[in-house]
Amino acid sequence: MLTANPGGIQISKTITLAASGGSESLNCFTLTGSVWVRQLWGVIQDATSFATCTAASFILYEATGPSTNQLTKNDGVLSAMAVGTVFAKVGLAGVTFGVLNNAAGAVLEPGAAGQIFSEFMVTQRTGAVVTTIQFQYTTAATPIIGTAQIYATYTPLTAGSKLIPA
Amino acid sequence: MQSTESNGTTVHKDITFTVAIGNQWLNCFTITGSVLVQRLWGIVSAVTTFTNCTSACFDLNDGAATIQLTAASGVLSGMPVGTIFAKAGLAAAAFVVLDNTAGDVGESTVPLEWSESIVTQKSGQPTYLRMGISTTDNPVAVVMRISCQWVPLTPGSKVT
Repeated sequence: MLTANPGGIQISKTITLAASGGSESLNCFTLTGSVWVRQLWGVIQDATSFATCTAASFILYEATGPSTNQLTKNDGVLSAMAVGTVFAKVGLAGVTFGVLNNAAGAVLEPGAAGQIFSEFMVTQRTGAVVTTIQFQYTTAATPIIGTAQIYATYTPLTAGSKLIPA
Repeated sequence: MQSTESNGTTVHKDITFTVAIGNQWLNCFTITGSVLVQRLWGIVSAVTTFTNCTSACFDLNDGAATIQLTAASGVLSGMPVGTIFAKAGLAAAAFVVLDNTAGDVGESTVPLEWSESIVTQKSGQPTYLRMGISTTDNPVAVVMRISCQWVPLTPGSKVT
């Protein structure tokens, strides 16, 4: 955990990107019940082979259905980003996640003065269907080799609700 | 000085402007990694000569490039000790000033809100959150205490 945040619980999950000339969806967090996600972001931790990483986004995925809901627009680009690059949900689902490329000092602001992270609520599909927040992307690399640490800060909305690393 | 707040850590730095008829930028904080800057503000804490202070702003400097955090149009000329200035808008807006010559309220046409930003260090390079001013005083002599409330976004990230 990075920081104590009495207003929420912070969790993280390391994901390994390994697709070869195609797309991949990686489970980040498993949802139980309903939660208020206050912050969702990631940082590139390894970029051994990371020349192309496009169509990147966060989604809510239901194992039975299956059904998906975009959490960020599916056109994020992390191609050739270096270790330490941060990407974050700073807009609505129709907006690409913000990227802070650390090739130079970088500043990311909200669209209007105020809060930078864009909050949302998510609900698990009824019937104990496994419901996850995923990171998905497409690559032309054969294969892509990289890892990212994904973080979320959330607050449960109902008794027993939670978000845990998948 | 550093203290733990309910939702972030606040750091403070005292800076002294001494330039004679010209511009001066002073490093306030060093950025390591990536952090969420929740609040950024300052207070005029000691004044000897402070008749003229214009083009005042906060920025981020990585040694090669500068990114504005507030517009370079802040005016603190003649402000007394106790005057507050704060980033309450996007980078294109000057910081809000609460002149304590009289009671003052930090509002505008919309409810005043601290304006957050995510700030990232240039990889491998010292990256500073700075304050800059321009003055016609010869020289200016003023001390300000700059404060920043922040939250780390990656392991080891910090504002110091």
